[in-house]
Formats: sequence, structure tokens, C-alpha cells
Amino acid sequence: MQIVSSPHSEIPLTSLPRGKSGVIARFESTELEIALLRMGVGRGNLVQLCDMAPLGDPISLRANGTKIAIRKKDAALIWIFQPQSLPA
Amino acid sequence: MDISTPVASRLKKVALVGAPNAGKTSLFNALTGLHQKVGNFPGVTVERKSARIRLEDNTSVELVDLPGANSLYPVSEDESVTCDVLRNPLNPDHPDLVVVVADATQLKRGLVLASQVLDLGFPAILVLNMIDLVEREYVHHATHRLQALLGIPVVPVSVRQEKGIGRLTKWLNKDIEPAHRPWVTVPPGFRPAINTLKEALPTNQDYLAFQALLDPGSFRNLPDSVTVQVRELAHVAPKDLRLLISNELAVRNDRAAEIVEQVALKPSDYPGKLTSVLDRIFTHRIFGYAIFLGILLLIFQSIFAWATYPMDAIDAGIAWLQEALGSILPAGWLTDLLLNGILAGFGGIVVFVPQIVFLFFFIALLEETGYMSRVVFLMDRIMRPFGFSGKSVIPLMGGMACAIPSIMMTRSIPNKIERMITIAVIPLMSCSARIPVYTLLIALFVPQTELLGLDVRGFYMTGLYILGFLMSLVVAFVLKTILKYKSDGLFVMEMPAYRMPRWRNVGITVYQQATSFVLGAGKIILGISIVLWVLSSYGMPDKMKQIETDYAAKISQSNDPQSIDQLRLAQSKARLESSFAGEIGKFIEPAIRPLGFDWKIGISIVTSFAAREVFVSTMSILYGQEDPESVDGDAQIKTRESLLTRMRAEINPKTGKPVYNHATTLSLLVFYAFAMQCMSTLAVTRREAGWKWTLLVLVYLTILSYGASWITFTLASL
Repeated sequence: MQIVSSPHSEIPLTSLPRGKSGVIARFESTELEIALLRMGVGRGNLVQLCDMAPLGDPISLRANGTKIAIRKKDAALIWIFQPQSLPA
Repeated sequence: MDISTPVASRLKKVALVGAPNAGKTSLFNALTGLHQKVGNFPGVTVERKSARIRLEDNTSVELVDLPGANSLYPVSEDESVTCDVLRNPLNPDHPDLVVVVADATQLKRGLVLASQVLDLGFPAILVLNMIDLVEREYVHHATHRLQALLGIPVVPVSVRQEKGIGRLTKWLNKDIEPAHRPWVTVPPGFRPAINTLKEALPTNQDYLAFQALLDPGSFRNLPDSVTVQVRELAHVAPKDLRLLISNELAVRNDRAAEIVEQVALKPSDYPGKLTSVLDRIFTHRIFGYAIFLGILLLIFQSIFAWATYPMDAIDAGIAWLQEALGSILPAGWLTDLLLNGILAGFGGIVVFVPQIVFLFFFIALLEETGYMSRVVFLMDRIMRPFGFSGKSVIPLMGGMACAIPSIMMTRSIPNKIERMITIAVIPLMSCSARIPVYTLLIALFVPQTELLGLDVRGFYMTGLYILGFLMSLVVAFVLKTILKYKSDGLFVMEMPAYRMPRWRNVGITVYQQATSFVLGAGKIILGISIVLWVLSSYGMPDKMKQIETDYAAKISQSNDPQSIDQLRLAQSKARLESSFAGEIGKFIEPAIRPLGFDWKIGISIVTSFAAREVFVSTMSILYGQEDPESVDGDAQIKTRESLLTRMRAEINPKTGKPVYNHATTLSLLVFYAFAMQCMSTLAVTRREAGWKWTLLVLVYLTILSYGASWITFTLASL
């Protein structure tokens, strides 16, 4: 088995299946990055996509021992490393 | 150079700093009990709580509870206050010692904040709160590791179980060395800029100067010329400053993560699991909304049903006091001012306290348990198209009791536009002061009949509440469109683990809200009451004198006590008609005639400015009745009924038809639903949102109420 590292190995947090976790690769917005760092969540940290509000927005994340709600359009600006390695 | 040490006799100042959910206020409450002084920080309306506490060795320290802060780069007014206290040595609260309160289950976050405090050069203590939620066997080891790694005392505490608080107080009067090794060092390229800033501020702390370079906006006293100069020295463009801030926080976050790894403090997973289960229920697409609706109904039940008992008691008490004092004190203008100006105004304030207490009891309870953030989570998407935030729900709800504390509650809305829109529409929610007005006017033209087993009058009442709420959605949407707001504000909200409420915190919140309402809004209501008393007791001297002599003559001629009473009543009616308030009513009559109002209604609208319910008592005077509010029991119903009879019998001299026809009454109801008739609300809006926004609110509400009343009157007259 071989881990493939390609430019496509990052996905937006919103495309993660519910309940699954991933490691934050980067933020597309500096303000969002500051806002989450204020809660102790930054690049390299593990986040889990928890729940969605009944209308699909906002969504909640679990990270750093707490739950954080953010709007969907902001969640799409958080890029995480593809959680599974692809078999060669 | 000789730097003198602080004078020993000066009281040592200790500041509590921590994230909003770290239990900082609970710790403050546990340390101080009710010996708190509550006020405002100078120049802002952010609440300042402080207390002087005596330690075991009989020395005292002054403890200040700084507003919750997630980092020392402020994003809200609350955080700005905390930052200014810590950054500015001239701030009266600038501490000698900082106690950083961290949630032990979220240690990393606490360490990021603590590291900023340490880098500012403060002697500090780290409190690991909620230590009962981490696995006990690791605590001892972790505390020692942390102490060694941070270079400051670390105290594990459980405020809930009242453990460790004594250990903390033992540290408060000790001399603690500031930590030596900074977490973030200034890059060499920034040296010249930092040195310039250190001179300009002035400070000897590198990190303070570094913060001023990165976030000059939050350093109010820093001249713009210096800001520009140092940016050039450091070769950074203004747009890169935010990037530098995020980099700094990332460095702290990574280092904190390493430390957390080393100290191995493991949260027992109990709160997380329970929270997941509860969230599945409380944010469920059906149960979630059903539960929220149920809680709303419970709150309304408390405000509109349970609160009426203490309110009636207060009303009766004030009336009794007025009567008792009236019989003791000599007649004259001073007694009149005391009884009908000051005492009546005071009664008008205190009567709302039960509703405020109920409202804040529930809100504090919902906050304490962590449920409130779930309401925000459920409602954000629904509220957003109107330019609101999910966090607008609670203040709008509160508006149905009283706009004043509700406008203050909007502070929790982080996005400025969303907050401004919320403030602008809160006065449209039908507050409790409108209930007596609605009750009287509905009774005027709707007979007490039943529909589906319910009183028809109740449907009208409910309709007025819905009317106000729907209008708030319309106005919010219009404002959002005018401001070209795309509802794209950043929204990041912590959803803390559920926990049992700490009743002491709930009690202290309720107590403080009630006193701040009585003292804050009370001052204005009392002031207006006195002004209105003057306006309705005095008029042009010659006219007033004429009335006095006329009636004095008539009364002296009459022997029959009943007709003397009648004359007295007629006299006070004539007095009110010729008073300044009466003159104003007649002056504005041409303006309000298109709405179907006459000058008597005009007077009542003017006097309503103290508080809307004054409408009822003014009407009673104008229609020659005793004040129905001041008589209790059967007499009250009787006088209210006869007031209604007289109002119904009032004939418009021009048309020969009743004044209070359907059209006028409906128009008046709509007017009261929308008009800005509360000085205290205007005052609190100005404080929270500034002059311009207050003016806008006043203008739009006036146009809206006038327009809507006119349309109602015109349509209903067809």
C-alpha cells in the first residue's frame, strides 16, 4: 500500500461525511482562521463534522474538546487532508 | 535608574481573565459571594464586577472580574475592555497579578490565552477549573508538569464541588515572579518598529509593542502617524497584519498542543457523551423546535400569567401608600408632586420588576445549562434571510417583556449589522407596558363573546403580538436590503457541554439585572414622570387662576358633599385641559386628526412618553374618573367599566357620532403597537447603538406608526 500525495488530497470540510474526522490543512479565510484559533482550533488539528442544524445550516464541529457551530459557507473554506489514503 | 516599588499600603489588584465558558464568573462568585460591587467600566457600558476580599493573614486584595476573552486580540467590546485593562498601565484596573482561568477539559485553549498574558509580563496564576471532569489520577502529575513548563503557579480547582478555592486564595497575596521565557519572540526585522512603539506607548514589554504593531486599531491612544511610521519600518502592508495575527496565534496553539501532550491531562469523556445524546434531541428537526416552542410558551406563561400576581400586589401597595401619605401630608403642590409625580413614577418602574425577574430567571437558566446556544443553532438559518442572526432570537423574545434589557442583550451578537438590525426592531415587539392599553381599547369595541370556547378579546390581543412580530421581520428585511447586507457575517459559536445550572449564578444574574433595570431605566422613567407632572399640573397662569377662582366659588356655594366631589372632578378635568399638556394635545390635534384622534387622545399620547400604560390613567382623568389602576378589587372593575361607558358615550361634536368607533379604536391600537413611546428605550438605544441609529429608529417608527394608523383608520372608516 502506498499513500498517494496529490494536489487533490485536500477536500473542503463540508464534503466530509457526517461523524467523520479529518486534519485541517488550511483555511481559505484569515478571519475564519483567527476566529477558530481563538477557540484553540488551527492547522494540523483534528476536527469532526458533528451535526447539521435541521435546515442543513449551520453545522457543528467537534474539536479540541468542545463543539463549535459555524455557518456552512464558512465551513466550505476549511480544507482538510483527504482522510483516507488511496491504494496504489 | 531607580524604579520605586509599589507602596505597600496600596491594595493589591488581582484580575480574573478567562474564556467565556471557562467558569470565570462562577469562580468570582465563589470567591466573593454577594460582596460584589457592580458598575460599568469607564466610558463603556460593559459591566464591571469587583470585590475586596480579605485573606487568611488579614491582608486584603481587590479582585476584578474582567469580561470573558478568547484572546488578547479583541473582537468585541467586552474583549476590548479586558485588553485595555491589561495593556494600559494607566487603566485604574491594571492588575498587579492576573489569574487566568482555564477549563481543564480544554486546556490548550486556556494555555493560548495564558501565554499572551505571560508574554505581556504579568505575574500570573493558572487556574485549572472543572478539574472534576478530568481523570483524577493524572491531576497531580499534570499540575507539576505544567508548573515547570510555564514557570508560574498552577492551581487545580472545581468551583462546582467547591474544591481548591482555598488553595487559590493562599496564592493571592504572594509575590509571584513573571515567567521568563516568552512564547513568541519578535522577529529581528521588526526590531526598529518595536523599539519605536516601546517609546511611543510607552512600555518596556516587547510583546505589548508587538500587539500594537499588529492590531493598532485596538490601541485607542496610539497616534495614527506612529502606526503608519512603524508599519513602514517593519515593511508590512496593512492587509498583512491579520495574517501576522493568525500566524502568532497558530504558533501559540502549536506550542500549547505540545504542552498538553506532555502533561497528559485526560478529560473523562462523560460530558461529551451526554452532550451528544442530548443534542440529538434538542437539535432534532421536530423535537428540537417543539421543545423550544414549549420553553417559549412557559416563559410567556410566566410573564403574562404568574407575574400578574406580584404586579397587582405592587400596584395595590403603591395605591395604598399614595392614599396613606395623602391623608397625612398637608395638601399642596409638594405633596401632589410627591404622590402623583415621584411616587406614581416609582410605581411605574417597580411594577415591571416581576416580569424582568421571570424573564432573566429563564434566560440565565438556559444560558447556565448550555441550552441557549442550541436555540441559536436551530434558529440561525431561519432568522438569517431577514438580516438577523440566530442570536437575535433571545433579545426579540425578551422584547415581549421589556425592550430595555433586551437591547442590552444584543451584545452577544458578534456581527455589527445583525446587531444593529436587531436593536432597530426590538421596539416593535409588544412589551408588557402595552398590555393595559391593549386591554382597555379592545374592551372598548369588542364585546366579551366566546369563539371556540375562548374569549374573542384574547384573539385580538394575540393578533397585536403577531402584528408586531411580523412587522419586525418586514422592517429587518427592509433594513438589510437598504444596508446591502448579504447575511454573510462570520459566525463562530461555542456549544458548551450541557451541565446542571448553578443556582447561585442564576440568582446573582437575576438580582443584578433587576437592580440595573430599576436604577438605569428607572432614572429616566422617574424624570419623565416629574416633567409630565409639571406639564399636566401647570398651564398659563391667568387661565389656571381663572379655573381656581371659578371652582372655588362654585364649591363654596354648594353644601351637598356629592356635588362637591363632582365639582372637584370637573375642576381637575378643566385644569388638565388648560394645562401645558392639554395645550400640547390641542396643538397636535390637526396632525393626529387624520388618524381619527382628538385632542384628548393627543394628551394621552404625550403623557405616554414616560411609560405607555400611563395612557390608561390619563384617560381616566380626562373622562372624569378615578384612576382605575389605583383602586383594587371590585372597585377597579367598576371604575374601569364606567370609564369604558363614558368613553363609548363620547360624541364627536363635528360628526355627531361616537369618537371611539371601530375605526378610531383600531387605529389607536395599531398606533400603540408601532409607535416609539418610551424614552428609556431611546436612551438605551443611544447608549448601545449611537445617536444616528437612534434617530433612524425614532424616525422609522414614527413614520410607520403614523402611516399604519392612517391606513387602518381610512380602511376601517369605509
